[in-house]
Amino acid sequence: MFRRNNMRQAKKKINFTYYVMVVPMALLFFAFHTIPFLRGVFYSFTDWKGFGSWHFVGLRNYGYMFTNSNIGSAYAFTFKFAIAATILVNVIALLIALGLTSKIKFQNTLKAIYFLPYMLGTLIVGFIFNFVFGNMLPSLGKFLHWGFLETNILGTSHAWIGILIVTVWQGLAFNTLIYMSGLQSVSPDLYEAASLDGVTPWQKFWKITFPLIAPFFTINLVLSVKGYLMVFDQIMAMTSGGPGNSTTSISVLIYNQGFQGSQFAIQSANAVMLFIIVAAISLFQLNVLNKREDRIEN
Amino acid sequence: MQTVNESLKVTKTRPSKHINYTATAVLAVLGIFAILGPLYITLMIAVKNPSDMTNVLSWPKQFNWSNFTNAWQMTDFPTMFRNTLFITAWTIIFTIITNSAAAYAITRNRGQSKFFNALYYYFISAMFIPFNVIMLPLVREVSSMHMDNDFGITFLYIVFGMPMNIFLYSGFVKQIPVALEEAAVMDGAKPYQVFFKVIFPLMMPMHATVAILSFMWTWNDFLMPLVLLSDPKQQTLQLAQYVFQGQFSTNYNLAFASYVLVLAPVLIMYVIFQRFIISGVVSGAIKG
Amino acid sequence: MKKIFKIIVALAGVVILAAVTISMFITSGPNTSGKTVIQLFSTKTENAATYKELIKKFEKANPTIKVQLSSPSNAATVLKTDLAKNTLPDVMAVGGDTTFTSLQSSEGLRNLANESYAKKTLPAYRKMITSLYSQKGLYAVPYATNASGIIYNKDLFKKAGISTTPKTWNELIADAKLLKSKGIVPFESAYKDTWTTMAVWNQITSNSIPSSWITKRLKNQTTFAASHQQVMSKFLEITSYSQSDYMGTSYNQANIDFAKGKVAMIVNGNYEIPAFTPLNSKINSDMFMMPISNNPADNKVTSGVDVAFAIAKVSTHVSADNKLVAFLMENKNAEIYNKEQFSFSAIKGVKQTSPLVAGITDQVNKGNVINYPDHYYPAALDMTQVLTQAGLNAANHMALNTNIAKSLKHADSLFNAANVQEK
Repeated sequence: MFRRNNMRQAKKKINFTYYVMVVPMALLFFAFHTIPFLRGVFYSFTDWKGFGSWHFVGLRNYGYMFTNSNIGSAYAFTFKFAIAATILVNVIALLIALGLTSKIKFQNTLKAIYFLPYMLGTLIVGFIFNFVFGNMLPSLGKFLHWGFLETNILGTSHAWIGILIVTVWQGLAFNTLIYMSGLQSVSPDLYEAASLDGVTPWQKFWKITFPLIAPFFTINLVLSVKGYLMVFDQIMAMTSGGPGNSTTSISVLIYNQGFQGSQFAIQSANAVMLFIIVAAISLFQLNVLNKREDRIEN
Repeated sequence: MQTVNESLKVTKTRPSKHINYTATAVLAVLGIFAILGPLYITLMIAVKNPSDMTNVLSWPKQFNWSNFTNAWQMTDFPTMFRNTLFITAWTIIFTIITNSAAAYAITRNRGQSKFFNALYYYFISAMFIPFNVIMLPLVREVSSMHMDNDFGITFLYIVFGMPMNIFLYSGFVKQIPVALEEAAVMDGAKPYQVFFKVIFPLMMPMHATVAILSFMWTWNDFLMPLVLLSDPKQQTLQLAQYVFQGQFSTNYNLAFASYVLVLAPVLIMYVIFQRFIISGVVSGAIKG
Repeated sequence: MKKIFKIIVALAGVVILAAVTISMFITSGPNTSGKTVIQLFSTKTENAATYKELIKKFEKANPTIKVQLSSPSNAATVLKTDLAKNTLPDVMAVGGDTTFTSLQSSEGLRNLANESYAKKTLPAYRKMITSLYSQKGLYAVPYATNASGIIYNKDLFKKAGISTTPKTWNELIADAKLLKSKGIVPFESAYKDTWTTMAVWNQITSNSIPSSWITKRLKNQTTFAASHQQVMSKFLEITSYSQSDYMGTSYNQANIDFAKGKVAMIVNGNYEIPAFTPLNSKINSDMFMMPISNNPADNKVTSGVDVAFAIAKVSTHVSADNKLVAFLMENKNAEIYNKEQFSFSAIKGVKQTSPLVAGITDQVNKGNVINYPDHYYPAALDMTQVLTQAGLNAANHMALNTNIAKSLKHADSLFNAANVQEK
């Protein structure tokens, strides 16, 4: 009886210590992240160039966004890229994770190899692949007389595929690791029970494995989509958005035009739009996927 | 899909002992060519002479170690390495302590308090703010406080890591049974004691994950040092790399030697702690 | 045993971290040696080695001053960030371009018109600087100027039987054809680094379009589509005589190929020479003026201020800054700079004598020069996007006329988009 009362009280009144744990950090976060963010939003209603004086211009920057074909094509490219990269990375990562968690030789060494790309900085990986695409593959293409290899893919209409390859190469590692954590949490007893019932491997995957790793799938999907919608580093290291504007993502456009082009205010408006879109998509995903998880758990 | 079916079939029919050679072969070939291949090429180019570049895959005729000494000097490697180490080490230490505590407090009180629930969503939604939006106002704010140096940037990493880390930690805390804390509370422990004595050690696997992610982020980040660290003596390895790229990159061998110099500390650390890095994350998931 | 090992590792970690931290505090604190520290910021990366050499000399002569050079690859962005921070570097070596215009319009630069070193410079080049803004005063002193043209391999020209450099567009194309027929790549274009497209575009435009065009375009009285047909067609003609992978070739790769004698010509500027000479010091190359018109007398060298020194108002040690600029502008130091960078000096009496630019030196000395047209384009207009797209279209075998029309339309739409903000 005494115990129950005590618990109920603890539930009602939150100990001061909890506030100490979180409030100072939250305040710092507000000061260094939220205030600059709000200022960015504020500047999107001005004609500030990143320096010097400014005036209010109302919604002009947002209106301008819709008349600018560059911004439109940056959105189209970014969505195309994010969808392709998310699907490829998650499918391949899941396959590799399934392989790595099965009974294989050199399991630890192979795991180590597959996680390696994640350790390397995107900038340098981009520089290395620049050489692979620009020098190695073309000379290989000439040697084998394979026409499509002879030109640097980053200088063609398919430049985005080159960037996609590098992104997948690097992005796989993290997602694979997350899926592996999920797969290893699946108890072998379940499989044994399933094998007694005579379930096919395909059914086993969808009925047993997948529901159990669903939370990991959620994390991966949300993080992938979010990350790839903001794709920046690999593009800057490899094409700077070219040729033409075929690989200009929204982030690259904001950076290029916002700083070098002195269109800071317009690109602030663009950045606010990007934020709204990324947040909306991610929240939608979290909602839908969490609901599905709940369904599975029940 | 071949590998999926294959691997699952094997575990099904012959539960343990037997090794799936198909999966081993596929994974080994893919790993060696696709992942180690580019790194092997990097290393080969780094130790060659410019005249020895006709076949980048071949073993060098003569090892040109002077590429490394030249790159070492040109990029001022010791200073850059020290700066990067400083930023990374302190970021990891403070991130683990502060962010885990914040995540714990938020997760345990979300159900009871609207305030904590709001904080949770506040941090999570901040995860979706592109750095580009806050970059210029941030730069202005930070420099007016004279924080545009290695100390300031370390501080910013600790603060900016919050959304992601709270997301990670809170998923983990949710799965720690409340009964464990109740037992400690019954023994008369205060909340901070519960946290540091019971929860913090239990979070070890997630600490590992957070430490690895923070390490990767701070060691490899390039945009934030670029806009915040204007003093050449305060720059990081990645930033130095970018400067170096423009100045001397007609010599691929020299450029690649400097890439190797930047990658080497990470690779050495990875080889030593590899089991820990991978199993830390994996066991975190198992316990959760 | 394991425990002892763990303790040792932990201790070593703590010691390293402590050492790193202490050393950070020592170096980041105020300069204890009592020296004045000047930051020299350069927007070019090609000349870093030359600056380092000159700085060494300067520090020897002025032991109380220390100069910190920084020349990042994306200098424009770094300077814009500094503008936002209100912390410009003390001395800036900038080009006569939109980055400088932004700096000038922020009113963060000192007027240098009355400094003694400013008076040593040639008036024509001072005018190139002052024409970039409307205020009175000289906010950057011109130091070195560049000259665009065509860098060519003399041996390969000889091999193809070309004895004199082309003087007209038709001759240039005829030579390109001849080179191609002998199995020599006529032009190496490096459009993977998008800025190199401008080196071609600027030379054609400056020689084909009067400089008054920009005023009309800003008032929407003319368009690219209406006036730049010829320019775009010539731009695309150069690509058609370039190596097959011109869209995927980087600037560095082009320099390597040129140094190896794989290609006959590169359309760019004298600033490219120090990028390939270290790879082959014996290369037998020279430059000639890019002939755009078919009337040889009409052709001019596209030239502009490559390096000009500016001093920030916020600098706390102006006399030391002035000392550095004056030192760099001493005739003998300007000569060293010129020699190593193959540039032309803005300082009276400093001559360029290198054989690697001999074919163009006369024209520059005669003053047969014309400014870069893109310096007057709106800052937000990214012309390289239009040009790389045009190059890509050509590589994808789009019909020439369709490509010209499409690309010019593209240029106009980008111009209109960029021009909104300028009003």
